[in-house]
Amino acid sequence: MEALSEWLASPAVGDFIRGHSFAWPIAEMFHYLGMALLLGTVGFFDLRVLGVGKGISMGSLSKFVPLGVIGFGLNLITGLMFVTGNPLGKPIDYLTNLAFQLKMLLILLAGLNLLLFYVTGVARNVEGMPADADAPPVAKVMAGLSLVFWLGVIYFGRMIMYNGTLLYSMGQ
Amino acid sequence: MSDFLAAIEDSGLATWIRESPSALAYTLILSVHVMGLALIIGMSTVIALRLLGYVQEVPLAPLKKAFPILYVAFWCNAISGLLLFAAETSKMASFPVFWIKMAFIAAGIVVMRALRNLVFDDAVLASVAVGVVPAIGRKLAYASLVCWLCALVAGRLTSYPELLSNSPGFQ
Repeated sequence: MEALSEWLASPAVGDFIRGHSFAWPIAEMFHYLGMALLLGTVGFFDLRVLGVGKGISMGSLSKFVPLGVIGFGLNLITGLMFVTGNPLGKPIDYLTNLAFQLKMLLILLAGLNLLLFYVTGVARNVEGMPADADAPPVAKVMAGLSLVFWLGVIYFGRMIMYNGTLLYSMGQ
Repeated sequence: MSDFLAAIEDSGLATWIRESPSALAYTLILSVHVMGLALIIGMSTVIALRLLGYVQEVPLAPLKKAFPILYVAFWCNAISGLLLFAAETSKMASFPVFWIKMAFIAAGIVVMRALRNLVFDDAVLASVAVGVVPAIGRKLAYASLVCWLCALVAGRLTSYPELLSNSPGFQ
């Protein structure tokens, strides 16, 4: 963990953040914007699979995927900035933070879920179905999991700076 | 006015939200608020981009089913926001940027209602050719993007009052 922290640490980013009082808040605004773009796209996609908004074909809705990818990209860049340039400490403060660990775990699970959605052919089935069709159960399970994972990512992301509260409530 | 705000802040509920060490108090309410804003801003952006011509394959009419979800998300955030405000009434009320955020949210909701009633109304959708966006739709789409983006920026700035008062220091 120490080694990973050393590898991730970027004094240049840290100096930039400490030297510019607007840097951190502006990065946070982009992190929030990216989150909203990702959740908005994922939300539309998953809710349609779950049966809300029938009449929209999944094939057409999938054209909004780049918007979600842009959102994720924004958050990857700003998130790396927070971790590598942690102005009040080192990356290890994040790596050892339970809320941060659970957030990363949920992003990984959401990614695996998405990968399965595409490699198992469920995506092809869903995108080919008529605008008014009901999605197969396996797709609905994946869509439900996706929403739970991403809302969990938001929850644990918000809890990073309240990690003490999280530990307290887990009796530690 | 300040007596009234102080009374809210000193109430049992507000004190519990602010001071309880439980993850069910302040942090859960705050998290719900962030989930709600992500849904509102994200879904509103998708709708606005569609109205501005991005991904025209998506039919307009079924998009109106997003509005009940937007309204639920809004009420979640109105309630969670009221509770968060109650916990820190005197501090929040003293920030001009907080009231600027409220103004953008009020405008955003007016725009959201206008979109629902002037663009996604059944009679309006039936009166224009399939997929055609009425002129008012494009204006409302721009207004929606501006309102929610400004609300997001102002909302984040409520955590950094010292930035706006020009006092140095990293928080």
